[in-house]
Amino acid sequence: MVHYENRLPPEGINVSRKSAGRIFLKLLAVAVVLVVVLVVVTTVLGSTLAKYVPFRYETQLMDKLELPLRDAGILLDDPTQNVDVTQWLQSLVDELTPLLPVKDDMHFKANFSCREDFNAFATLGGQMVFNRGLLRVMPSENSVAMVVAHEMAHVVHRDPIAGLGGGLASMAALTLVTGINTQSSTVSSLLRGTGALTQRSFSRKMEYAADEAGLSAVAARYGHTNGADMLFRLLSGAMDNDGTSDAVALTRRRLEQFSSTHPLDDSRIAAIETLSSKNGWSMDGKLTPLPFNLRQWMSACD
Amino acid sequence: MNLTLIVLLMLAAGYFIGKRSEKRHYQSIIVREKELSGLPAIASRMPPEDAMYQQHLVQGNIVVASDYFKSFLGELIKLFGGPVVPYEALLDRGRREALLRMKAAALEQQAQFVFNVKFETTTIGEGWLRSVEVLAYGTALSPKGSVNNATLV
Repeated sequence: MVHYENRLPPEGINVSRKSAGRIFLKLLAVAVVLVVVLVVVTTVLGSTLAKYVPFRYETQLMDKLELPLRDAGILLDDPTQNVDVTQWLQSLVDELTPLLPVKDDMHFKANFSCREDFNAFATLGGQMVFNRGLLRVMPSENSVAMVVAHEMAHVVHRDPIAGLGGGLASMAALTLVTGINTQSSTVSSLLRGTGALTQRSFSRKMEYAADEAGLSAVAARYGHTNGADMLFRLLSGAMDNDGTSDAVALTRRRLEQFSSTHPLDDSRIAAIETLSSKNGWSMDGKLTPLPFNLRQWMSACD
Repeated sequence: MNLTLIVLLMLAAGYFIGKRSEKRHYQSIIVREKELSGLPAIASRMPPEDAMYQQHLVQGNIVVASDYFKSFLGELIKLFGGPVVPYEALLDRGRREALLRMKAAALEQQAQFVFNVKFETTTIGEGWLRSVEVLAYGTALSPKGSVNNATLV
């Protein structure tokens, strides 16, 4: 008679004895390093190549996009409204243009937006947008001029097209690595997040460079840099007065600095002071008042 | 930053809770495998011909879910390739548990053997909610007269 039995095999034959925790830490570290290297290389490459795109192509692209973006309410408000504010901003732009290292084919266009966010930005084709939320708290023309010069410096440095080129290149590279997932994958999200954080360090460098060029133009325009740091003082003050303790606020802001596209406001104020002192620009000087009717002009938004 | 914190907490919870539950499951499996070792489960399709047996289809199945840590590590390994270590224990537990359940079903039929034993595996759910079902089935052979309504071999 045949004898049948199930002998119990030793444990662990079908399961690796490797520590899952150790494998996890090793692979995660390798993946993060690879993503950082990949993003750095592709961003540098993409942004460097993008800067070779002639400025006139940026302008042509924006000419095509302007109307759809206005219609969608994404980019700019109707330029036929708030004509006075727009003209005043454009006059500041025109005054500051010769004070920046502007290339011949470059031109700037100031736009006013009724949005209440404390924000201004420059985009492709020399288009710049200044929000009402920012202009309404600015105490002097000098402060506004610093913001305007800062955004113009972004255009002069070709930061919008460089950001677009670097962003597209790194996004394409990351998509190749992590794949296009229809299902949400935390690993992909985490690696993309690592890539985004790495890319933000490039933005912070661009911000410092724009601050420096903008400050130089403001110093040349007014003969001093008084009021130039007001934007950052306002931002910093708003952060400090939110009821949190100094230590908590500082820790939070250090974390925000790490994850932000912009440097800390305190660092930018310090940089402005250092630059002024290094270049012999006085930080005291008579502030130029804002146009008397500015608030009235901006009330057209209501 | 909050998302990163949540992911880290989920990973830690998945690692420690998953490890504990895996350890307890293996302890239970090892004890029951010894208890049921007297009932052979055989892959062969040829049953013994020394006696008359009643035959029954018996099956045991289990659905095992992966924990957050295992799923995360599985995704990470997929980027580089190689053995998907975190799923090995998951499938091993699934197969052994399904076999034990099949044997328990066979014992209820007073079976002496289970022949033609096979495994089927199916994934259930999508993405991070994915689980694996393991089904073990075979033909239980019980001595003639021990169970009613069965076919004689």
